[in-house]
Order: sequence, then C-alpha cells, then structure tokens
Amino acid sequence: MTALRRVLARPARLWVVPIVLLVWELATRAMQHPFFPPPSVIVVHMRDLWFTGSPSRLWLNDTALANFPQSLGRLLAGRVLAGVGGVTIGVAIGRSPLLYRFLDPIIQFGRALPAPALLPMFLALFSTGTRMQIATITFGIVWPVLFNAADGARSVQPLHLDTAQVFGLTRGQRLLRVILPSAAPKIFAGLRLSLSLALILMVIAEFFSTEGIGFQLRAAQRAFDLPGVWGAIVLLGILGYLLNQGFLLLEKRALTWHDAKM
Amino acid sequence: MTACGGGGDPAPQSGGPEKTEIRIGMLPLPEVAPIQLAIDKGYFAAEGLTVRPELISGGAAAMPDLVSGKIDILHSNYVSALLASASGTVKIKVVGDAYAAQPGNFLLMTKKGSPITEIAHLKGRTIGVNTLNNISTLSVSALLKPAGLRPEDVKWVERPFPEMAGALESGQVDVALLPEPFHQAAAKTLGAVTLSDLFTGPLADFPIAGYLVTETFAQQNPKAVAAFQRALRKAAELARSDSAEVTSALQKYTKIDQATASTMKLGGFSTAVDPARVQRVADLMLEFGYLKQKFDVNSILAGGASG
Repeated sequence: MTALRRVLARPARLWVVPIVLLVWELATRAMQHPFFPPPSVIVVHMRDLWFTGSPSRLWLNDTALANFPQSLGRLLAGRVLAGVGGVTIGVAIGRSPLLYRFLDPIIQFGRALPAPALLPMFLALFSTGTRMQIATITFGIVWPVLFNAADGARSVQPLHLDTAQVFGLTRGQRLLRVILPSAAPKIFAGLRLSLSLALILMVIAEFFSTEGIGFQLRAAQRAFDLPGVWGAIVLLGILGYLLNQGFLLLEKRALTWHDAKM
Repeated sequence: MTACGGGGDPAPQSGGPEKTEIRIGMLPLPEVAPIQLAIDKGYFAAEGLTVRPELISGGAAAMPDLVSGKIDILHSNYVSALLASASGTVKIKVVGDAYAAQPGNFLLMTKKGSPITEIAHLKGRTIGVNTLNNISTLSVSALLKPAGLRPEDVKWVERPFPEMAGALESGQVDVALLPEPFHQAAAKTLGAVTLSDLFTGPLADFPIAGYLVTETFAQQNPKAVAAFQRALRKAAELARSDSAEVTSALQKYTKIDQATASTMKLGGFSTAVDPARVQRVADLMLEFGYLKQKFDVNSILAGGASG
C-alpha cells in the first residue's frame, strides 16, 4: 500500500514542469531560431498531428493509431525477450562458476558491440520490419539485465542457501524462494537501466523502417517540419516517463517484502 | 582538393572574395563533377577561392550543417531546398544549378525475378529512397499517379545510395531508386531489373539539384559567391563538352571505376539556373502536398545564378 501511495504521490512533484515549460517558452521566443520552436507551437502541432481523433479513441487519430501501437508493441516485446533471456542466462552464470568462466569472454565481447552499428546486419537478416526492430532492441538492452542478474545471483547469502538445503528444498524451490528473491533488487535495477536504452534503440531502428514514432520523427526531419520533430521528441519523453512510472509501480509491488525488511 | 594547397593567400586586394576558403557539402554523385573539375583545373584558384569538398548523405540531412556554418555551400536536391525555405527553417539562396535529369540517370529497379513488372504493381510495396520527402519521393509520386496510385499507397524507407542494391537483394525494399553509377552496378552484379526510368515523360529534363548558401552568407559574401559562380560555370561548360574530363574527375571523389564511368549517361550539367525549370519543381511539390501554397522560386534565386 505504501508503495502505491508513494507512486501516486509522484505527480505532486510535477510542480517543476510548468516552470521548465515557462523558461523553455521564453528562451525559444527570445532565440527565434527555426530549429527551436517554442513549446506552445509544438503542443498545437502535436495535437494536429496525432490527437484530432474522437474521445472514444482517447483522441488518437489514424496517424497516431497507425504508429504508436506498433512502436510500443516492439518496445515491450524487446523488453520481455531481453528480460526473460537476460535473467535466465544471468542467474545461470551467476550460480555456476564453470558456466561463468566459459561464457564471460563471449558476453564481454557481445556487450561491447553497439547495437546501432549492428543495424545493417539485423536488416540483412530480418529485413525491414518488426522482427529487425525487436532484434535490435533485445540485443541492445539484454546486457545490463544479464550482468545485474548475474551479480544478484552471485551475491545470494550462503547462509540462506545452506538453510534452504537443511530444510530440504529442491533445486527449483531454492531458485524460486531464495535465489530469485534475493537477486530481485539487482535484477530490477538492470531492467530499469534497460528501459531508456530500449526507447533509444526503438527510435534508431524505426529510422530505417516504414512506420512507427521513429519513422515519423525522420519524416518530419526530412520535411523540415521542426515543430513535428520536437513533437515526436516530446512524445518520446512522455512515453519514457510513463513507462518508468509503470515500471516503478511493478518494482515496488514485486519488492514489497524487501522494503518491509528495511 | 590539391588545387590551392598554399596557405599563404595573397593580401586581399580590392575586388577579391570576402571569404577565400569555401567548404562545400556534396553527395558523391556524378552530378557534382564540375566542382572537382573546377578544383583540378584551377578555376576556383584563379578566382581566389580554395574550395574544400565534404561528402554528405543527403541534402536534407546536411541542412543543419549549412545553418550552423560548418559548410558554406550545400549541394542539395531542389525538393529539400524548397521545403527548408518554404517552412521558414532556413533562408536560402540558390547560387548555381547542378544537374538536370537525363534519360537513364535515375532508375527504379526491382530484384531479379520480382513479380513487380509495372508501376501499378507497386501498391503496398516498399520503395527505397535516399531521403524521405525529397526529389526521389516526389518524382516517384508523379510516376505513380498515372497508374492510379497515391504516395500513401506505397511505403517509403530510407537507405543511403551505396546500400540500396544490398537492400533490394535482401528484400528490405521491393523497389529501389538507384542513380548512376549504382544502377549499373546493381544490374551487373545482382541482375537487378529496370522497372522505370524516373525522369521521363512529364518529368523529362527535370532539375535535380542545385548549390545553396544561406541568405546571410549571400549578403555578406557577394564577391565570393560571384567568384564561385564564374568558376562553376566554366567547369560545367567543360563537363558538358568533354566527357573524358568528367570520367577522370569522378575517380577522385567516388569509387566509380573506369569501365562503369564510361557506360554512364552524363550530360545534364547546367551552367545556369533556369527559374522556369525550378518553378516546375515547386509546382509539382504543391500538387503532391509537399507545399501548402504556391511558392515563387524567384525569391530564393541569387543574383547571377540564372544569367
């Protein structure tokens, strides 16, 4: 309950937003640089671009509905894949020194590869479209999840594991009741790190696509529709904020026992 | 690039250019051969200019470089240039014409054995262009119209020209827009098939690209601009009359080999901007909704460019 209240209290901290907006508005009006339109212009333009639909569709128009769900779907698919894959491999190498020794060089190599540089390869493998984008996002964000999960799994207190053994817990039970809960804070830290990365990679992958928020951003750039460019940037910022809030809610709920212990 | 290596410029005599070192952003395409020729033949040097070329990926992508002053002159397709100007993003002046399309310069191509054999088959297909909302998308839109298709009926995707043939071969795009020399290479190595010549019929002799400066640059450097124009015109005349010169100039800023270069259909180099021709671009942009209202191109043509 406290977790929920804490998350709900967050919007109260939004008092800085109007101040930032005001400064932004005044600064851009003073600058008069075509590449920096004032937020009042951006908001009106965003409405024209995406929010002219009927209230029953949350005011989203056809353009928005043709782009937003795809982008979000890929983002979430990439996160789920990276989350499941990263946690599974991470916990496995965290608990097995042998596996760690075998896989560590490969993982260090893979982690150093920037996902955007691999885009041409993903494009050649999966062609333009959803699979390529999910592959790019997954590959780019799996590393922080994997490393944090491994770290978390390694740092389980031996006493806890010994106790579990004394009580005759099976391997599966030990994993679910002892290892995962104890690694959870670190796993969640990795997942949170991957959130903003996923958003960035979604945009980059969609530059090379035919729809999605990233594609809209690129098309606006090419049409010199700078309020449209900023509209897409603001939209991505809001999306990042909402995704983070949603994730925090999930994290708080999953880690309640952890909080209570503190 | 080697024409005027000496750093010690002569003392600026009256009448000399205000700015002696000019950076020009250009695509690695045959149409900018006169720039290389003017460097090699010393035409720029004779005008007191040192011109340094920088390769770019597209006119729209490089527009911020023009605005920030990283480059002084930009080789850009007219559609991106007019969009930038009409949207109020950059106040530009066209200081020279680069190229008008000749048959065979730009082709729409499909993969070998593709089921797409006529324009009408393009509905719902993905078309690869180097830049969205530029001359490629506009001219393909014009090509779609007689077949009863609108620009929204196809999907557009950006790929740099050098990657286009690969994108076509691996199925990332169903149709690729390929300029010379990339379409020769695609046909030779991958067996790519020509679906249509882009600039034929109503688009014959269509102006492709020009050289732009910002309005501020034009105001502050009228002598440098005029000097650039004189040298460019001389080089364009040479390019038009002597294709062997063009072929050898190409080797210096592109990776076109001699054999390919000799099969290319060059000849659209312009010595002057034709306002009526550029107006055709603006009118077509209006027709396809790139522009919201009629745009008079005379407002962006620099003095001396069209003479």
